[in-house]
Amino acid sequence: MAALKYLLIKEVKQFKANPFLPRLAVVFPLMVMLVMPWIATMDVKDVNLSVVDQDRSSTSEKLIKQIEASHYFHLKTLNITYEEALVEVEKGKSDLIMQIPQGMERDWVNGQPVEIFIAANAVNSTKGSMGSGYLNNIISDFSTELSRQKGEVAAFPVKLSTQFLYNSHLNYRYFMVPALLIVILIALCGFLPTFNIVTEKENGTIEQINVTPVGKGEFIASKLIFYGVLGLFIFTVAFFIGKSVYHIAPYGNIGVIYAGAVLFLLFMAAIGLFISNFSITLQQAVFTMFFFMMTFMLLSGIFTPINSMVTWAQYFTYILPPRYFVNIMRSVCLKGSGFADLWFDFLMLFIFMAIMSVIAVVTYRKQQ
Amino acid sequence: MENVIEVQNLVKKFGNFTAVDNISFEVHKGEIFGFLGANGAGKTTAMRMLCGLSYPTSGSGIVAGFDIRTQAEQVKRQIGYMSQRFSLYEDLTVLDNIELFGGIYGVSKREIAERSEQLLEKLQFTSEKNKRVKDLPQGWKQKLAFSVAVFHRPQIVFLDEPTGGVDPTTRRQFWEMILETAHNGITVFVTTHYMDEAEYCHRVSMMVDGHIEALDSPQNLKLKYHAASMGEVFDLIARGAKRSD
Amino acid sequence: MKEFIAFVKKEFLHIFRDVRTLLILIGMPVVLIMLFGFAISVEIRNVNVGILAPQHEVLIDRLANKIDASEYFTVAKWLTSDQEIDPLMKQGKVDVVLAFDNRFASRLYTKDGAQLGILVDASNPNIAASEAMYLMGIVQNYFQNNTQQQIKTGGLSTNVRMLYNPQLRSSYNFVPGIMGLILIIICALMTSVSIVREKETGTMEVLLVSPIKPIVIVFAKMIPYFVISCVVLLIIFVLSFTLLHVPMAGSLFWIVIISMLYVILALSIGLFISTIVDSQMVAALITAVVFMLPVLMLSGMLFPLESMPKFFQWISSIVPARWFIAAIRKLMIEGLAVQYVLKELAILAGMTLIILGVALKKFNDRLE
Repeated sequence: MAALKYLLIKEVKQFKANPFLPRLAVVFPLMVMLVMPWIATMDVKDVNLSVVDQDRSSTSEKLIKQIEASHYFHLKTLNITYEEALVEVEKGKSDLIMQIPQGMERDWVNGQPVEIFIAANAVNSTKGSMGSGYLNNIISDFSTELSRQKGEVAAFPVKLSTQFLYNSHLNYRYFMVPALLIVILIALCGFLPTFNIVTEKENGTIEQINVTPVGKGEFIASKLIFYGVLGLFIFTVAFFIGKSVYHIAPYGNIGVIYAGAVLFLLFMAAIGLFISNFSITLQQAVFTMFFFMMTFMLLSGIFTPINSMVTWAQYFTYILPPRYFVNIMRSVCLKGSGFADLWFDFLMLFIFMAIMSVIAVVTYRKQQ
Repeated sequence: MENVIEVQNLVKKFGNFTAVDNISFEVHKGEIFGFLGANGAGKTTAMRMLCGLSYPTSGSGIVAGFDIRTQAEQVKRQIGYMSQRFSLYEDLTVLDNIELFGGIYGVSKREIAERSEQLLEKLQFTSEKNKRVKDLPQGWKQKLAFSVAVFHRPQIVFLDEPTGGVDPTTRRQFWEMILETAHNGITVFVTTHYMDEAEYCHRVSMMVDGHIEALDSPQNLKLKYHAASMGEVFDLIARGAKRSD
Repeated sequence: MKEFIAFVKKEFLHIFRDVRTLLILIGMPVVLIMLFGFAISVEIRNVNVGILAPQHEVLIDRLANKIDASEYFTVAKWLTSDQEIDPLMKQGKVDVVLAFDNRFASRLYTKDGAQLGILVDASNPNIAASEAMYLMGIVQNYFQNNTQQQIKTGGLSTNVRMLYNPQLRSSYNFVPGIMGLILIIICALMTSVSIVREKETGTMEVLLVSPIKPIVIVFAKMIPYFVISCVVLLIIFVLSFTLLHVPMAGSLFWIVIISMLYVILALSIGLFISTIVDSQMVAALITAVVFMLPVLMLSGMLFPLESMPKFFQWISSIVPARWFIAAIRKLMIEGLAVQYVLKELAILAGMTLIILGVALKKFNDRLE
């Protein structure tokens, strides 16, 4: 075990001696945490709406006023034909078209049903469906209000109230910042260990280590420990920024978050070393890790929800350890969940970490 | 005489290519054993098998009393190794490297401090001890690599082309260090393709295309082949070689 | 010219000898585009609904059945007390709770009305808003249908049409994004790492002292990667078209032209990076980590540009992927004519010229 100490000292000294890595380890989390939360927003706002009013009545005017008052839509163009509105959409100047049919006021007074036509640019499907959904709600409210004024029984006998729990202001940042921490960890703490062994191979220093009696376990452990601790440092810096700048409040126990972080970081270090073991050139290692990184980032529910995936892809996510850590981070930060609520995620994370560490040791070959 | 290395019918194949083809030999304790041959003759591959870096395809080898097939890790405790390519950590300092490898071999902290001080003084490196290895001239790097390979006082030290790319003065100094090491009781197993260096060895083997074609003391070989120098001996033996770079 | 061909041949041999890297290069985009094309989506699906009903009522059963029958929701739990909500949400077992009033049915059509609360786990604000909106829609629809049978009434209704993407498939939105991401990272990574590798091993020096002009050497290195990129591009097109059913609505000719331009731009970026760094590890970290994030986050692939603060919208205009993705969306999905993407085309061409120019100049400077 004495060798482990010397190997650890060596990793630290090499890291410090590198002109680029220590800077990257500080600047990258800072940059990501200070910049990305402003970008990572899916708030659907400033939806541009073109109104084709064929009725031009006081009722249609009232409806348009009500839409304007919602501050959700930018009324772009009025008094145009549907064809003109469509050109606006094609140019990207307008997202939605609302067409009020001729004779709306008259039909409505006569108790006839009136249909308002909405066309949404659904290339961005979130924007398309959310925008048209909101517009739909406004029109529905308007309709109920009209009926009430007319003294009719409202078509809708239920008082609906919506309550948003855990994130009452629907702040997208509270949702995204805990996951951005994980993006940093995947990118940095996955790539740094990947380069480690393969660099030793390219420089030939691995020969000098392999010819010593140092155990495989000790050699890999020294790297796992080093990258684990480095990762915790990076995580702490990023977490502190998240807390002080964006007020992501861990409602739950911070210990739960750190327990998850340790398991996750060790897993990332182990998979990096495993890839490194298998690669002869740095280029191979980079591409392999890049593949894993993309999969981890895009399929673990960080940016798009796992529930929205097709069913087979949802099953696939069970073999992606970041999935569990993403859930732990968000549940603890937003909902205040604890170990008891998240035992399954912790168990899976632990199993993956243990298996991957063993694989990293076993696949490391001292003798060809 | 006691043997520290015994090799029998050792073979290493890479696919269809047989790098080392059925070699057998012994190395006596305390001798300087020269392993000669052209580039690509299989010297390095054979040496890597003896060091436990490469697994033999067939045949057997005992190094310092341990089997290279089944007890590679025990073998590694008894040996030192200097590879053909400079392979200390270039981004660490001279002292960092000495401490690292001393520590890995289990030399105590006090011993490391004592021995490294002596070593640096002897090499006249003391002023450079905190310099990064990459900033040292090539000859100094080689001397450092050799010193690190014998720092933990192994039974045998394996040197793979230790004088490659070094000027003649440094080469002579280097061989003085090797002779001194042997004098202290460490067996030296050295590969080289400089034939004049063979004169320093107690015994040499000549490898051609994966086979050992001759094995004897330089004196006897020159007599046998009626040659004036080891270079001529090698030319005579290697005439039929197929592989070479 | 003869030397040039000989050089290109050498580079090809180099690449083909490393079968594993080649497999990763070709295989990775295939796997990624399949995985992401199918998996990434922001449509809401598989929402677990909890029904909080103080008493058993037929009306509630019927409404629950209606909700369960919709493609978005699954009734996962029946609750009797609001104490149960928090633990279930913390464990992630339910996403939404529909909380019915005491003696719900009998309170309908009374003065105070029957209360119905929608409690949403708003960790993910967008999903929460959509869930609430859809659920409200189902409830409203249910009562409107019931009521209209009793009382004949007029009122406004809407007819919504989703343009260009009628089934609201996210893949339409994500495929151009993924193309933009994969192409630029792979191309830039390939060139930067392989050129820096030659620097590290010293073979670059050998090439540069040869009588061949440096510019010839550079192009010879880039051509094989250009060919590989084109193969990758072809595969992505075929997969998107056949398996993901992404429409090729616009001119295939211009889609290909823009893509090739983008590939050349990416290769130039790789060349540029290789001129400013000296180690493979740094080249890989800059391309795969530092460069990857802006491409992922500032290109409009995941996060709509118009939701960002103005400053970042402005910053995003230097991200090449932004223009590529915009152009491909217009051409491939909206099927617009080439005159609508002239701006994007011009910007990409300009960027290519500038970066290639700077990279070549730096490359030559280093020699002198």
